[in-house]
Amino acid sequence: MSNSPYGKSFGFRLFRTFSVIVMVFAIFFAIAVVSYQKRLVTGDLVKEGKMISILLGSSLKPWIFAENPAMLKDALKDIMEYRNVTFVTFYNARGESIYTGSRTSRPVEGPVFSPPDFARMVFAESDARYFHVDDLTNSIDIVSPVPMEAPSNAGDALYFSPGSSRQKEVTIGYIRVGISKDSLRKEEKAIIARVAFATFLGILAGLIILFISIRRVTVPLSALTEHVRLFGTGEVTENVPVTTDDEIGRLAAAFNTMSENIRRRDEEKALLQNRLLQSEKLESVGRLARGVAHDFNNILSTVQGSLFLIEKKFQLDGAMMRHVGQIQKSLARARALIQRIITFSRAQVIEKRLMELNSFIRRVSPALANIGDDNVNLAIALAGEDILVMGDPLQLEQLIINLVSNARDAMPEGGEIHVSTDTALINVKDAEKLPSLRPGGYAVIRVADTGGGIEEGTREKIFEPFFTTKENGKGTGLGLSIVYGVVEQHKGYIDVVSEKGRGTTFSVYLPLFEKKADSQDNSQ
Amino acid sequence: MSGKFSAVITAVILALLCGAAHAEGPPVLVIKSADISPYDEAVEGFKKTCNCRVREVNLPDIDSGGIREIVSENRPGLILAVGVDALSLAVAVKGTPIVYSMVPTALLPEISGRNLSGVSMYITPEKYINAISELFPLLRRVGVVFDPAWSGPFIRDAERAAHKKGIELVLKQVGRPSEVISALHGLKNSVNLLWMIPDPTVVNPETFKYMLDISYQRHIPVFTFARKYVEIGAAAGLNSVPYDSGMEAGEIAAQLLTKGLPETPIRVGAKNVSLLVNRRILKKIGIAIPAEVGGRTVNVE
Repeated sequence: MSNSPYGKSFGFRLFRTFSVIVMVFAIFFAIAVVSYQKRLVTGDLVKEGKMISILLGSSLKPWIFAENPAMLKDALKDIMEYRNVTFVTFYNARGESIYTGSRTSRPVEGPVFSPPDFARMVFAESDARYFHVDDLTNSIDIVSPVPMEAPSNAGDALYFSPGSSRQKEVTIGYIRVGISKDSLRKEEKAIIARVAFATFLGILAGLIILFISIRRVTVPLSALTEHVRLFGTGEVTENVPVTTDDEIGRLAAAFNTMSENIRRRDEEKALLQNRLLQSEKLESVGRLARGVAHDFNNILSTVQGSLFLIEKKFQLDGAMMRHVGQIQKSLARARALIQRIITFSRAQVIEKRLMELNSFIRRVSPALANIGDDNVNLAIALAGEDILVMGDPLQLEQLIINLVSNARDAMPEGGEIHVSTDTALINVKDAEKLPSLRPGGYAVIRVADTGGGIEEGTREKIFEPFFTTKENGKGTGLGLSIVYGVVEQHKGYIDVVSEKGRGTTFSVYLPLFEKKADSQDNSQ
Repeated sequence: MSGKFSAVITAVILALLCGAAHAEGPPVLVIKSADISPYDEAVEGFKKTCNCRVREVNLPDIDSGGIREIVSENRPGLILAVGVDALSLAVAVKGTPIVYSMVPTALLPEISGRNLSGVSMYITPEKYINAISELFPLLRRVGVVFDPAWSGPFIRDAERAAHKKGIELVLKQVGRPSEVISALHGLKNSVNLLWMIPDPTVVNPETFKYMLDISYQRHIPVFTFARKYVEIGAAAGLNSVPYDSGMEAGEIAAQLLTKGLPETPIRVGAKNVSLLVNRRILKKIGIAIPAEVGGRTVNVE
């Protein structure tokens, strides 16, 4: 049993232990009740015997006094009809038997009293000692003296009542009554049956109550255990239901808090890892792009030089000039592309200087307004205070233009673009979640649209170069890559919050200007 | 006339002087066996005729040592013993005249002495027979259980008196109390009245109850010798009147106090007796008593 799952169950063991206790108590209680009831019934029989003895002693006193067996026999007829009386023996004052009446031919159980036996029986006037009671196997033997007021013997009492003084009593004989235990045995059986039934019901009720009580303890415990197990395997997604206010309830609540914290930490960890991965990926891509752009730029320079020599040395006709012009246009586009790749790959040399962000936004706002279509409203909300940052105005202009352009492209059906500035304080805890940031004050440029939002799977790739969701030919896939590159070069951070159907918000964090930071930046 | 008047005056003065002399003499110590009403009545009767100072003590309150102490302190001129127990104690005091009252006759032979006088409750058999004859003129067979050792002479006198009245005594002799019930059992079909005499062998609570059983079952009246039995179920009886007994004892005491101890002790039986009936019992057992006798009876219920 103990090897089975039930045997190992805490609830089962608890139930088993308490069941044994309940049953042991119930059995002891039943034994005590039966014993008590038996004593009561025996006591009733003894009382009955005493009562018969008293009645016989009172009513037959003259014949006991007269030691008249014939009259005693006659008087006993009725009493011997009573089923519980097995025999009655009368003795005189000297303890000699006068007459014995018996209901059965069975010999009288118990000792045969001889006259000295009565002398040994101490009878007092109190009820407890007035009767000599023997509890025999088949009967209860009760011997009682028959008292009589002492004959006056010529004293005053012959003529007068003794007043308040107590009349002396003498014993004129003894009565011995045998009470059958047959009725006692029947009653005992009935008592045992009743008590056994009551005990059975009591145990049953006790076990049911016990089962319910233990279930109330173990069910939440089992649920908690199962949740802990699932939590251990990583399958748990829900909180443990807290159904009670007791220790188990508090344990469940504590577990919920703990699992919630761990889950959040895991999510944050996963997010961080994802960001790190993204960052590393973009770094790799950037490195690759930097190399490719550099080599490609050299190639383009060679082609450009060669084309210039061709134009100088050879008299080209009109058709050929058109081809050369076409090549030059392509070269220009290629250079522009290379330039953007360089910007993304942070290979571009930036020239940071102290700039006030709100003024900067105001300055570029006409260009931003031109980006929007007719069905796109541009709203600019600038912070009330001046926001000083160290930045490259050209690159930051490129950044904001790209973000607004991206917002516009996200709303082909029209909508609103909100450009705002703000400041934020990134504390140590926030900084831990954003490894690219250091704790401190940051300027925030937010560009929010009311477009359809970014798909969950797409969000991770939006900063990758040449990744676009636009139709072929409508986008290079470098806009947000350039934004990312600019932010990185400014030691900032870009956050994207997008909700499907409600729009996307890009938040660019740029370190606020500080003298120390300023000096460091300048040194770089 | 003047001579007669002078004699009366002289007698009265002498009587008052005598009385004053008694009242101023040594006190009489009254010892009662118990503090019960008949003894109190006897003492009252005694005071009525003794004309003496008395000091009363009750036996339950005092023992023989205490009596001797009281006697030596008070130096009584006489002791009145009321009841058997009081008399038993009083006889231990030597040299002081003792007068008894409320004492059954049967005990007296055991106590003797020149200083012992008194009035017993003894009622002569003739008085019993006369009373039975008057009260129950139709009942002629009277059953008596007796112990010859105690009541032999009494029964002989009773037989003579009964014979004179035409009453037949059906006698059963017993030697032990345990024989009484069987003796009564043997009598119950042959008598029409049970006479319970003051015989200590015969009289005890169980025998009396059995007599009552016979009385109620057989409609046989029980005629007894003391008030208490009439009160609890006997049909009728003679009773020595305690007050009268006390008065007679008082007269004897006065004589002893004035004249000293006589040569022969003065010992008398009950002079005045009352005829008691329990009309309720008589009615239950269906026995009527003659109307002319009824006026002289005392009803006790």
